[in-house]
Amino acid sequence: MIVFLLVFFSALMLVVSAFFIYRNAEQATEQSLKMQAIGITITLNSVLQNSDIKELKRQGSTIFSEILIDERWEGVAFISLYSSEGKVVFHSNPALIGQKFQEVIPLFKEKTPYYHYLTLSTGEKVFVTDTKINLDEIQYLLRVALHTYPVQSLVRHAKIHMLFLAFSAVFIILAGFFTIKLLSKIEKMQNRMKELENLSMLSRVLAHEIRNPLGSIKGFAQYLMKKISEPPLKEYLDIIVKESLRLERLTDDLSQYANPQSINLQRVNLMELIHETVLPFSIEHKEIFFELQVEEVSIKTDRDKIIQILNNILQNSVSALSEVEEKRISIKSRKINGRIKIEISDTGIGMDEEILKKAKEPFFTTKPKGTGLGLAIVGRLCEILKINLEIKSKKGQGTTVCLTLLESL
Amino acid sequence: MPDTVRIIIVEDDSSFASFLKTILEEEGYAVMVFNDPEVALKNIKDFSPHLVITDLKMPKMDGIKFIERAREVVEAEFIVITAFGTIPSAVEAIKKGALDYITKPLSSLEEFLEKIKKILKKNITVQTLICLPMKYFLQELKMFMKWLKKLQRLTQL
Ligand SMILES: Nc1ncnc2c1ncn2[C@@H]1O[C@H](COP(=O)(O)OP(=O)(O)OP(=O)(O)O)[C@@H](O)[C@H]1O
Ligand SMILES: [Mg+2]
Repeated sequence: MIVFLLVFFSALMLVVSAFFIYRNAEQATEQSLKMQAIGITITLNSVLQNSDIKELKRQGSTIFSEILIDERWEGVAFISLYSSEGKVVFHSNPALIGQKFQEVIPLFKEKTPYYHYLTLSTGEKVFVTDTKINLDEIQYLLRVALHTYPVQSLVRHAKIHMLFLAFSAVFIILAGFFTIKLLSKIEKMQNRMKELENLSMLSRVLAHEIRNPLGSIKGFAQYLMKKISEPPLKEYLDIIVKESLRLERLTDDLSQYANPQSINLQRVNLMELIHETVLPFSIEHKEIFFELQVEEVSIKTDRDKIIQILNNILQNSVSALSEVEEKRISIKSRKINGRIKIEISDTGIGMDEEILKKAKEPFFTTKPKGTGLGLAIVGRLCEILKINLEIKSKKGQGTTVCLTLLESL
Repeated sequence: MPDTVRIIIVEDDSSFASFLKTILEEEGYAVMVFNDPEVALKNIKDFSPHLVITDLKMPKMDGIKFIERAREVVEAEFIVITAFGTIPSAVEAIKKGALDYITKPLSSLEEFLEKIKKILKKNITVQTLICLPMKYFLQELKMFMKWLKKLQRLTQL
């Protein structure tokens, strides 16, 4: 987050500095226009002071146009001299001499030099400096109009520069934003991995530590079971043994979840394997109708892990069927596009969305004596064997678990 | 006590050790428990067991090392105790000379006792068929040598 703020802040600084560069450029250009105008005004003034104005007027002088050509001032649009009635006395464009400009009259009241912009009939905007001068005790207005485009191009440059800076600022902000999002995603993943590692370490240690005392509890209980035949006592011992077995199963599940053994690849006849796995279930649960539609395929995979996966899924299906009328489990397997799809569906109680979402989480269970590791182990083993696992379920209708296997790992 | 079968249990978890001792003594074996593998190593020769059951994970010395060192001192069969039946250390223990492994908790008492019986039968038959006659033979040989020496001395005189 701090990184993000830093990036954002520096980008903002870029924008601000860009703005100031622009502002500076604008001010600097106006300043330079003023300097130029004042320079020209002073020169013209001294020329006019040193010549006989009446004489020049009489000649209908083109002095201004001559000066303009002579001096080679760059960027001058025009120069002119107005009388206090607004009449043009001299003009760099001789055609305008003698014409009257009403709008000049009020300028005599302004403090000079008076700077302003004017738009010419050609549409060009020029920078104008009006200065009152006295020639033979009569007040005149000397006007110097400068083209703005040479300096305007400077401003344009600054504008482009600013735009460029602003764009890069936006780019930096966006890039920073996405980088931070990516980083946080990576961090999340790393945390998740750490969590899993910790969980697996904890599970491993727990599994071992539980098995130690369990060894004597279960052992002695079994020993006493053989010695004692008094009905209630034997019953209690039986409970001790059963509960010990449950704990033992938990430790098995835990260690399976925490550190599955390495992969042991084998050619497996899938049909046989499914039949073998289902057999003990069908013997134990005569009330359930097992329906098998299994294609004969041979795959290369880890036999024990596949059996474990199927066992856990079937175990869930069997317990989901305990309280429903129609008890049916169907197992189908088919080859589709070089992949093998195994579908295990039951007509059991099913799951609502909430349960379905959490079903694969370790330790999530809705059963009083469940460990909640059944599907978590399935998930883990599927990951290892690159099996795509999909669970579909509707409350009150049943559950379908889809496994999509590669033909060969 | 030449006819009773002697078993040593090396296990730091004293409850489990006492459980094993209880069921094995009931079967008529002479059982001695050591909670410390180092102490066990010091005393193992005097007891000269037929079978040693040792835990794999012990604080001072692991079971595999214990087997290695005990085998230098005694002729006995070794069984290791593991928490899970499939862990690689059991395999390693078997490579190092352990005959078999048992899991903790035991899956069933009967199975365990059966396993012990089978192992000991093998061991004892080996002993009775080969080692014991050899022992007698060696004893006889010694006696014969002694007698020979005596005879030599006599003849020299
Ligand atoms: N076929 C199914 N039908 C209905 N609910 C199911 C089914 N399979 C899983 N569930 C739900 O998902 C939960 C988690 O299943 P999982 O196998 O992970 O643990 P468990 O069965 O509760 O415990 P364990 O498998 O350790 O005995 C179950 O408690 C159950 O609510
Ligand atoms: Mg389950």
